[in-house]
Amino acid sequence: MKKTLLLTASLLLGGCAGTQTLPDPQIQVGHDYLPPITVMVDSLEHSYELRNYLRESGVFSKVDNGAAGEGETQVMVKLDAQRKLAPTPLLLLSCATLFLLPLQNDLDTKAEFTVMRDGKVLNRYHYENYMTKYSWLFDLGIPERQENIRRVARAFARDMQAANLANKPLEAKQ
Amino acid sequence: MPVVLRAFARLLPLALLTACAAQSPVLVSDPLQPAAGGPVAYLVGSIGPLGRDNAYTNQRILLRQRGSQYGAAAWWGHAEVAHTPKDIEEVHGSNKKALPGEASVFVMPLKPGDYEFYDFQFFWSGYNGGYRSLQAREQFLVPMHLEAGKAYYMGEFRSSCLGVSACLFFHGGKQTRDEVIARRYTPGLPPLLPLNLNMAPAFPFVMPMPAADVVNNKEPKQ
Repeated sequence: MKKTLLLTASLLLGGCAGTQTLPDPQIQVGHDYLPPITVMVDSLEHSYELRNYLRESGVFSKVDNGAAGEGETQVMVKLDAQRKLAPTPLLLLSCATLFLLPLQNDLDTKAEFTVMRDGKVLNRYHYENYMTKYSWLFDLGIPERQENIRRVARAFARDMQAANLANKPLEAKQ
Repeated sequence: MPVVLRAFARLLPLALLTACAAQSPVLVSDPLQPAAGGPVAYLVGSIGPLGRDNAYTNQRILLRQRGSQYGAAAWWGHAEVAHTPKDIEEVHGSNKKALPGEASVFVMPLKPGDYEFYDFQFFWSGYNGGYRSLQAREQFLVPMHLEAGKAYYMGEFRSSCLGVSACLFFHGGKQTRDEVIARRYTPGLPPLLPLNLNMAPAFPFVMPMPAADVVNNKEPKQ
């Protein structure tokens, strides 16, 4: 009986940890800031969140919202973050148990970053991060959802740092 | 049982007294705290409401190590939950009858390195039993480089609010005044170097202290 209770408790407390398919990107420290970027995101829900994570990366000297001026770097982001929730009957069942029954609460994010300057495309970056998570009463999975978007932002910052695109002369691609 | 009661009777006044004591206006996450005997850099400044408007509530300025989620904060609070020392109490502006604003001087020991001032927070409780907070939706970046063995003056951050939906900090410099108080808290503090931060990226959340900011308080006559 004790073992069953312990197993259930450990499953509820630890077994519901979320998993992300995109590993946490490692950003090199000690480099100078890259020049400012202006980021426009097509998602109202996650736009400011994505820009804040880009600021947090410590890579860019400034991350603005909106349209870039002449000679400045514009980043257009097509962000598709889809939440996948448990089917309604399971949701109701979980309600009946006062949300003690864990529920599927996944987030699949696909993001395409287009780096432009003066209307010319410099590069495109594509990232996908799939999060699997079971949430319940005491663990709603909010930090995991934030981490899902954060990793996408950091992956872009890492790649921009590596390419140091903002410092390179224009090399427009077809 | 009497032993437990006796222990409780002894601990209760102690608990009450410690709860009344002012708390440090500095919060530093573990990874940013300098190791004992290790290199350390100090950030010094002051924070608090400029007057008795809605800014007279718990507030913080937030810092982080560049490129990480490790953070530190300087905060000011009054009696609602916990309060910080009332180091500065003065009336700004021409209305001599106005209730004075308050501020706490902070001395923040940090591991040397690159840091960023990136956000602020205001907290209100007690509005119909509710709770409100305010911070920047779009954060900003004010970078600073802190070297070991040095102490930097960050400036004074004095808040003002229009209701509970529009708050800002006025940023100014009162180094001589703050340094005297800071040395009282940390006697071995190295000489203060002004940071001269460019607060333009933090506009409109942080604005220069108005030029008309003439403190009308006269120095008490000796």
